[in-house]
Amino acid sequence: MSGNLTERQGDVMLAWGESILGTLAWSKADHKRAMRCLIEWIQNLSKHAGYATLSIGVNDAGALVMDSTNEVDSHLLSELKLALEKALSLPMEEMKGARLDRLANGHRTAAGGAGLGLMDLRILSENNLRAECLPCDGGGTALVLTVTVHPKSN
Amino acid sequence: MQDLLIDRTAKTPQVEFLALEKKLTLAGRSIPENSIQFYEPMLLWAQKFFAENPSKVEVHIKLEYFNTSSSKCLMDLLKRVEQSQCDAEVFWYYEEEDEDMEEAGEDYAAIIQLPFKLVETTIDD
Repeated sequence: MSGNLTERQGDVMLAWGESILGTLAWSKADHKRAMRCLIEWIQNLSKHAGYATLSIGVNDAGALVMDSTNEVDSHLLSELKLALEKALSLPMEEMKGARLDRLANGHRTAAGGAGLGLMDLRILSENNLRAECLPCDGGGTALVLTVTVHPKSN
Repeated sequence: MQDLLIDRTAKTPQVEFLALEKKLTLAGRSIPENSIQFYEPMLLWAQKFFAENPSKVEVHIKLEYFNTSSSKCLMDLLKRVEQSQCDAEVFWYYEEEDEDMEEAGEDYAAIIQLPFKLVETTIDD
């Protein structure tokens, strides 16, 4: 799907993702974890992305894969890079500690989440969050995000 | 003081804040886009409730999913309980095998200085 992602379109994507999950013989706990990833991924995009290209599917290994590409507003680029660095650069256990500190003491961002969304995506996907900022033709920057959820119980 | 009762929706939990029983319950999904707006009445209700110096309170959290912005709002609510002078106890429910929701409860228990009980439920509960 490509377009300006609104809350309503986000709901459609969520329902679509849920229907894909329904076809997989995963445990309820895995299903719930994947749903949490879908929710975080879609709501992050609908808050920040504007025009985005999204896809949800199942790869050859049987994992749920969420892919998105969106252009980043130039005035948000430094904030995004900082959030990506905090979410991705630390070893997992250290990042969990940083997340707890942020949950307890962090100030909210304008979007209300205190910058926890990417951290939660990394934890829920068990370190299967990939993010890259790429230059666009017009001089802007695109964020390419891939979240992969493997079932724990298989 | 009036109770605060909100029906559950596909994105928001059932809210049952009972003043007389001194029992605050959230159950269902908490994934609203604007969680601050959704949780504001609960925080205001809690502020009034604790201003009346209740002797005790029980908080029951039975969430299936919650999004990141709800996690911050839950923290705000629990901090309000923590700051009250009453004898408070938090019950955090999670389904068996749902390690993520169990860990989420452990995270809150590590931060909030209140008696915190993690309650495992069977999937059919």
